[in-house]
Amino acid sequence: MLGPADYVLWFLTALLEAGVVLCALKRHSFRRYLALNIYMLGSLVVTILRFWVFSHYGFSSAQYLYFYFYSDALLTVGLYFALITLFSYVLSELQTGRYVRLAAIVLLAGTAFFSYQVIQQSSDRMLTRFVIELSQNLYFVGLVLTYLLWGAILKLRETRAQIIQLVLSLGLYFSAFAATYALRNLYPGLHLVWGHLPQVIALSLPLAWAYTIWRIPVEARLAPARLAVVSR
Amino acid sequence: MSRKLNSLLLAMLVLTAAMGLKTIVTAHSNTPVVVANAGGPTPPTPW
Repeated sequence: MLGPADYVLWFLTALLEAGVVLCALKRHSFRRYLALNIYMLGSLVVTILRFWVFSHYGFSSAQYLYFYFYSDALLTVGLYFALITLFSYVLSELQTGRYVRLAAIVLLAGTAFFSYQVIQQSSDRMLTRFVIELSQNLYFVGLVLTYLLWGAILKLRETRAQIIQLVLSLGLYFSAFAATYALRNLYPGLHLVWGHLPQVIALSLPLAWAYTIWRIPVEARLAPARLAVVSR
Repeated sequence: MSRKLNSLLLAMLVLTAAMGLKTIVTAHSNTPVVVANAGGPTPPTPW
């Protein structure tokens, strides 16, 4: 049974996802960050469809369960490609676009192969197990890729404020999920916290993206390398 | 050619690091990793 907090978080998520798309359209940034905006638009559609499935079949239904995990896997793949486009932006001056694409496809194929190896001993619901495993593994791949991208930003002295904010928000998002999972294993009794915290963390991504697109001008510049230097 | 091989090597290193991290984080646990793309409460896994 869902409580009022679940409905509020659900509604807020849809509102913020729509906010990102509207901000991007208003600031003429939809095509500039096409993959990110398509991911956010897909998230909005999935959020609405999940509510439709929930209201027609119920939270405990097989329909909601399968729709939730399958749509999550699709969105995780979408977020993975959105992250790869950020690599393309950061590494654009090095003319490495085709190598980034090659590495991205090999990494996705490798993750899918690894996920299949993990679940191949299962006797039932192999496709569902594969989808959930792939989604989980891509989360951790995304986490490592985000830190790698942050390293590239510092190394290449990337100064575009919007790109830096988008990468930092992704780093926060992936890191918070990993930390939540680790803490949940340490304190499994806090059901109320672990039930809602993932949804609260999920709010951070559209909130940060909407803020970045709306408040930070395209031409704004930062010097992230200064963050890594100890002042004297 | 060497840049292509570097790309492949980097992809494999990222995969190894990610799966290593997942193994550390999910050690001694049977609960599924939290997933929360888009809105909606997470249902229990079907097994």
